[in-house]
Amino acid sequence: MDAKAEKGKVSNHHIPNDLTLSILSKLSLKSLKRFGCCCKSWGFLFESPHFMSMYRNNVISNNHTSCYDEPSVIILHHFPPLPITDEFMFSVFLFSGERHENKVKLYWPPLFLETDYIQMLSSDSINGNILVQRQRMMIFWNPSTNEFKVIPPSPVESGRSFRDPMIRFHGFGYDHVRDDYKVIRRVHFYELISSDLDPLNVSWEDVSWGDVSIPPLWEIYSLKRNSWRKLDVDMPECYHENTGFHVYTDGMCHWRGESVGPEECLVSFDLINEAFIITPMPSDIDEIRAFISSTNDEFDFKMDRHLVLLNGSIALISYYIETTFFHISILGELGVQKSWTKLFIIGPLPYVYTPIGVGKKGDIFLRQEDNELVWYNLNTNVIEKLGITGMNDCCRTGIYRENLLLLE
Amino acid sequence: MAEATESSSSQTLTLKRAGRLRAERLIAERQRLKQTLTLKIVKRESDESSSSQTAEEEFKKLNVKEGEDSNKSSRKDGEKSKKLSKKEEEEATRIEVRTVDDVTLVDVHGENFSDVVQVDSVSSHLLGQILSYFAEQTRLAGEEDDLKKYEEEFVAALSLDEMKEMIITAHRLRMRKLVLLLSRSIANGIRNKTVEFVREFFGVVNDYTPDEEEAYRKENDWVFENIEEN
Repeated sequence: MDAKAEKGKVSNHHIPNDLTLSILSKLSLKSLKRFGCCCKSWGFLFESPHFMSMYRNNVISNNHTSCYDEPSVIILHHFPPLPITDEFMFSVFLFSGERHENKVKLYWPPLFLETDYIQMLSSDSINGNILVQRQRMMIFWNPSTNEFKVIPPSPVESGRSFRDPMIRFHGFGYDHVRDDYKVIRRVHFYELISSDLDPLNVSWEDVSWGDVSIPPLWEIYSLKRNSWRKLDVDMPECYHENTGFHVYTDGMCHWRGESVGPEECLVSFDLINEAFIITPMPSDIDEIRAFISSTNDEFDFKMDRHLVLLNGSIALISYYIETTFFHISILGELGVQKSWTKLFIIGPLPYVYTPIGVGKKGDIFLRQEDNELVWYNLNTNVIEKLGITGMNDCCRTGIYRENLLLLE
Repeated sequence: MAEATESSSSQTLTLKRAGRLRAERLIAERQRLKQTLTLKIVKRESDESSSSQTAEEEFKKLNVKEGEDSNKSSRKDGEKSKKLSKKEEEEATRIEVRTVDDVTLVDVHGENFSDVVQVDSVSSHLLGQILSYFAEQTRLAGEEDDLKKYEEEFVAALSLDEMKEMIITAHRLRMRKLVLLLSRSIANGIRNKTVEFVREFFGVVNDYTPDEEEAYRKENDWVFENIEEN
């Protein structure tokens, strides 16, 4: 080994420059930024269009997980209400193939009807399982085996509180250390008012003060224990359950949280040690928040955000309404605001209304203004139709990797 | 599977099917240029040999090869190699690794070709591994899972320095798949290293002034945390 090293110096072997750049283009944002300190030309790599084009290509196509099967994409879409019955229809489709050309319709587990209002809470599958919800019932569902498990209500739900709490899903993930699936949610109780008690035939005097005002809480469900327990943390919460607000990767649940002031932050909750990290949103984006109120029909916003997982990296898609451009920034390191790095600028895409998720290899799924669902290939910059339509915020896509193991 | 063994006497090593496929591909490539392809690899002094004279000889050869390297003109290379390749002109299409007078030749033959790809100072050990890789590639072609597994094991057994040497050689031999595999592995191997380590690894000269470097480190403080100590 020593002899070799010596010989190396003698023969002055160096990796040729184009090969060096090719190697550098495969590094993470953090490593690449660090090696920018090696010499000036490397410091300017982020400004080199040729290099960045190579880099972007690797971001999309690098295989982080050694998966031998081609992951499919799952879409929960919502047909427009049928004119006569005024019912909704929720369906799930599995798209597979390089260009998402194979479409398979999945059937809900026997508990659900297609006319139910069903929400898909997680975008990507975790070991082949998806979390879906109908009204207040959450279930783990494995579409391949059609196995499902109903999550029981928590003590907080079934306890004596005289009114229904407001529950918001925050995360679904897998703790590999304990081999356990977890679900996190936030529970709010409105102030008790006398009209709540009337239908229950309870008088105001019989209610203790503790029942009138209950502080909000965090709850975490463990599949192994099949029970909920209170989480003793104080972290920013998310007020939406739609797509674009939560992602899961590597044992951590992430969501867009409301922090102090109008600005959002990324909350990253570690399922293993139950600690969280806050990362402020990128500061270079003009913050004009989009808020679509469920009670309002009208809305007015200039920029919308979408939290996604782009080939394993946490990314933010920012959509500028007026210019119809999409900017995609990747997070370099949790907790570091300046590590958000803008990598992709795509557009103009005038007919596109909103992203609905990301598939394998950086394929971005979008909903057009005419409700047509399409996908955008970041490599070829081509948009293609999927052949189905969807409505409102009920469309959601993610990566589905089949797993035939039992959920136990 | 073929292996290149070390020996000072001349020997012929023939890669059968694997070699022929490679040969055919390379020949097709060269056909337009109407040149033969002769891969010349200078055999590195083995660990057993300790003669300083041969070391000097080889050193001279290295210098000579370096000079030829800088000039990428294939015509010039062709001239130099004509003396050697003449012997093999009549032979059939196959890759030959021959060690003659301390020079290892890997020849690919066809009709009316002449070209030399210089690949210098590769230890026979690494050369053997490259050839093994190539043979396995062809053998496992189509069986994705086995191929992936083989590749994983292949790179796991290599040190960063070995990968560096190998990638330079593979680059010259135009083995795209091996280069891609190695560049991924090297990227993975250096990702947590310090700036100093990487500078030395790639032979990069620091052209920042101390102030400039300080400013860079300060501005990007987050990238300098949680990395390996050399």
